[in-house]
Amino acid sequence: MKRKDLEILLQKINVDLFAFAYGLVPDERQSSHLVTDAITVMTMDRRILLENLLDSEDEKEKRLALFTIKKVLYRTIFELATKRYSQIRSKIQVPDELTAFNGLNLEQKAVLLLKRRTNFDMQDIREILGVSNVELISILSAARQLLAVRTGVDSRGVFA
Amino acid sequence: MSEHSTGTKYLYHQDSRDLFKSAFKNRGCPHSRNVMAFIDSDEKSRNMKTFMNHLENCDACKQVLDTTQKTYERLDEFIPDARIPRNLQMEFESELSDILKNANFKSDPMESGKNFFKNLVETVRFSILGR
Repeated sequence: MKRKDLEILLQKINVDLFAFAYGLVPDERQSSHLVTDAITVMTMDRRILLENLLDSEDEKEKRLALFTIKKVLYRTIFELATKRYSQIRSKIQVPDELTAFNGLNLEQKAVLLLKRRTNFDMQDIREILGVSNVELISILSAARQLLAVRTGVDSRGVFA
Repeated sequence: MSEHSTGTKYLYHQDSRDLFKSAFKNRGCPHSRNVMAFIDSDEKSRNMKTFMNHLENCDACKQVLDTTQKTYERLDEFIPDARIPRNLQMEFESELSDILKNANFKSDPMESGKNFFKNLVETVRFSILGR
């Protein structure tokens, strides 16, 4: 794989990464910075992973390396958002339609976004967020319950 | 002896089943507690075959499954699914190009040579102008 191919792949992935970052930090400019910074961090910290992808000729190996890169980027975005959000929170104008979702904490938001807006399975989500299975189920359940309360969804008492 | 113990075990099992049934008499099927875990479990790691078999024969659990899935779908409407604006995507593309050029990968010897020289020039320039 050539560097140009990697660039094109990252351009495509950016659409999903931006959606994730925006879910965590509802500001377009800040979300875009989060993605760019995550890629910069990866080129410094995970250079071997990227070099393996560039060196690889085998399709299976390439797919695996790309998938790992994608997970690393999601994880880095989450870590960067965790560090920055408290500093920029007061300056962000949250759109009305996101008020309920924005009332969840970052971990809860991340779990819901990864579970319902990406194709990652539970094991991938555990790796991205660095939590155990029990913790993940607990965060997911609490996030849904809180979102249901904040939105008034759950008239049938699913979470009762 | 073995017949006796099996019999006792069987009776005990029957008793608990009756108790269980009466406790959940007005709350549908007790197995519906597994519905949320079932929805969240992965296809490839789905080790809930017993519950899947149970679902085929239990109308109460089917109903809970249906209601829970509908509630989750309603909640999904509140989970953002943002699209990146065109101008930010273009900015990203130009920044990405720079990030990868400066990454200095070993598998790209021409580029790494260029980057080494560029970095050297930048370092010298910084140290001279920075004073």
